[in-house]
Amino acid sequence: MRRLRTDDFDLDGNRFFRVLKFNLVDKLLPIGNFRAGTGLKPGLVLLFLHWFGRPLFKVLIRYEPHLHRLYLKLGRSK
Amino acid sequence: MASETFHSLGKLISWGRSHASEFQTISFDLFDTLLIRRIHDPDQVKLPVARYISSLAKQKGISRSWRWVQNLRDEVEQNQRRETGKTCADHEACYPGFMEETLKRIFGAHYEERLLDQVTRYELDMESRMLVPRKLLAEWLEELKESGKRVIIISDVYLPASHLRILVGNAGLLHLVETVISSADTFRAKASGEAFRLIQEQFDIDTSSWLHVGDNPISDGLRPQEFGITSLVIKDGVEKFRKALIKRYVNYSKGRPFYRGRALQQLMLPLEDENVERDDLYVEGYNFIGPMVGAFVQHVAEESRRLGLTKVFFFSREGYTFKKVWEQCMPILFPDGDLPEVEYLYVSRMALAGAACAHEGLTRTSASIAMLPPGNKNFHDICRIFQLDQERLAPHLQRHKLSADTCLSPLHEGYDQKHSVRLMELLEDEIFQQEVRFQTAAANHALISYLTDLGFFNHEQIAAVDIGWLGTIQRFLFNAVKHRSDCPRIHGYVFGATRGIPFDETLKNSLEGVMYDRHRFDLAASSILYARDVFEEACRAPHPTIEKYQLTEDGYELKFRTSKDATGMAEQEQDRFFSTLQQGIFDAARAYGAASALLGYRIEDYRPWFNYLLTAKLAFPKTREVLAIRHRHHLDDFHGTGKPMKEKLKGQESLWDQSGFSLRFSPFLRSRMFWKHIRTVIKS
Repeated sequence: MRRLRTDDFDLDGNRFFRVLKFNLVDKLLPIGNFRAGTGLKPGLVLLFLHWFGRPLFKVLIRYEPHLHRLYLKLGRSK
Repeated sequence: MASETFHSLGKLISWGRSHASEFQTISFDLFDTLLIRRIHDPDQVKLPVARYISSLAKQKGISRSWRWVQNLRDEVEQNQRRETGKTCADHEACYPGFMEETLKRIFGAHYEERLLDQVTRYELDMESRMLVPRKLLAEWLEELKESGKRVIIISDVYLPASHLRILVGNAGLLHLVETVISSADTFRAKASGEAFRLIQEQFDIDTSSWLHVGDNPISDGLRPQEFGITSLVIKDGVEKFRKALIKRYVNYSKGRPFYRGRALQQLMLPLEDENVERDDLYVEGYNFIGPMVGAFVQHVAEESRRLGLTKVFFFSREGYTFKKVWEQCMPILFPDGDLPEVEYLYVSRMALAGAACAHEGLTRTSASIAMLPPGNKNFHDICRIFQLDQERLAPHLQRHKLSADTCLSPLHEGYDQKHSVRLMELLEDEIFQQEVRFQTAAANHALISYLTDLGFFNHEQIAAVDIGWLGTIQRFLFNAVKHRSDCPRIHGYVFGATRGIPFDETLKNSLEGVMYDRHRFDLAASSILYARDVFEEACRAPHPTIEKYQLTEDGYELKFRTSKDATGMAEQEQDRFFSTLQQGIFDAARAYGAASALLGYRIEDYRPWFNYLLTAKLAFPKTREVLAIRHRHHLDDFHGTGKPMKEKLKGQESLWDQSGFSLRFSPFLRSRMFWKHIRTVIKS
């Protein structure tokens, strides 16, 4: 018995690590048409989020107003 | 009075429970508190509504893109908020007001009152499908209701309370609350604190015994606190995490097509208490096969709309699943109702094979199809498949130096090439063909009567939907009816088209493989060839196959295969085995419809993700996946009982036929098999 969704909001039976692994293999061997695939940076960001997002956001949520101000500042400076 | 912030819903509820005796009235914020949205951005729910309005306008001959409609809606809503701001502290808007104005500006003289109802119903349906009640809060709500507390819902939103009640009702919470209050009705919101004053006056509530729960530190924390109400604010890190993920999947999907299918599946994921433990096969049905079947059916609907097809026939037995998925998805994917009629058609290769010979006789292609399965060996098999009387054909066979036992398949012992030459000569023999036509006329007559009853000939263009693979059913069906002047143009859509025997494409009869088509070079999608039987079994209807159409005294009857013999019993066992997988597909269909309507993507957008899914799950599966999904008995009456020579079948064993031991321990098994597969696909 399994659940459709894992605790880190990933697909059971098709976790993002497997997706990224396949996309990396696809760079070396012709597996099929993935239309440029995951991309390295978005892939790593999502993998990091799936793995560490839960504890990370539990901490970050306490500093949300500060972070919000920081994001605004960064947004303005761009 | 205090305002407390909690970073865990559990802690908030435990505080609420321990202080419950101090409060008589408990009010809750609705969105992101009692109900959470599957999508990170609530404005995304407006996009399918804009598409719906755009398609309704198109039906009236008004050409407006959905983006134009959305911009207009935003503009009208902003105008209303500005107007409200002149007289009220809050810049609120009310949905019926601004939506009516939006629709009037789009439709002009074509505006009718029912348009607003239609659009509102669709928007609320979309909202409902995107909302999930928070399990812990729902449980607490029940406790509060049982202990006799006044429970009210207060929301700052453009939807009036009558609409919110529908959403709360659909979430199963309406019976737990006394009332639902929206800022859209009074333009007095929580944001300014005026809503609390209004509610206090209206319901005569003692503020010292009033507890408010919400997620906004100002509207749900500071404002009630200023008014003397105790407030609890939830800042949930896990929710933030979930939204961060879906936001990234959706945003990345705009630039990288690969993420479109993944974003779809992220939106389809069950939340809160929807995520219960399931059978392994259910998970595969929901997370693997379900989205692909949904996209296949969506493609058929889009093509039907584009080509103006007026009826879709789902071929038994795999069409059973496709039709059910259609019924689940279409109301939300194409709410304008501009869709063809649908019908489940009882057909099978066995039943149609005979009927297909009534006008053309037994063609070379039909004979080749009959001899394709390795178990079929001689003329006995041809007679079994085409329902021919062997004794009456014996003189014709003798004339061409053939007998019913002559081996006609190169896979079997005793085959000689001259047997095939003689068979071809037999097929060119007009006297033989006359006998074939005579013997199959009754089956054809019964089939035509059945099709006439279903209105098959009342349409100029129809779609025929099946799982695949050679398109034999469609081929036989067309051969059986093409002599009629009212024969419709048949557009065939199959899940995968392997085209082992070329399909005779004509103006009146065409075939498209949607997920995989041998005519398109697509290495990843060709992984479907690894386990075709899995898709067949997963989609198969739980009823026996049709054996033949036969004439009766009062018309015709469909004769189904018995389910009481060994084959029938094995088939029932098979159906039971795959029932949970099928349930997973059906449940996924509902989620697919809402998610795909919201994202606005089509099969071409999802294809890179499906290519990955097919490769990962079929060509490089985990051992556990193969052992869980692969079929126990694949039953097919088309296949004979002959035993082909082993050396002829050598090298045909696929990954999905390997033992658990091989799958686990054979070195580079998947890579070797994939390499072999690549070579086969390139060569063919």
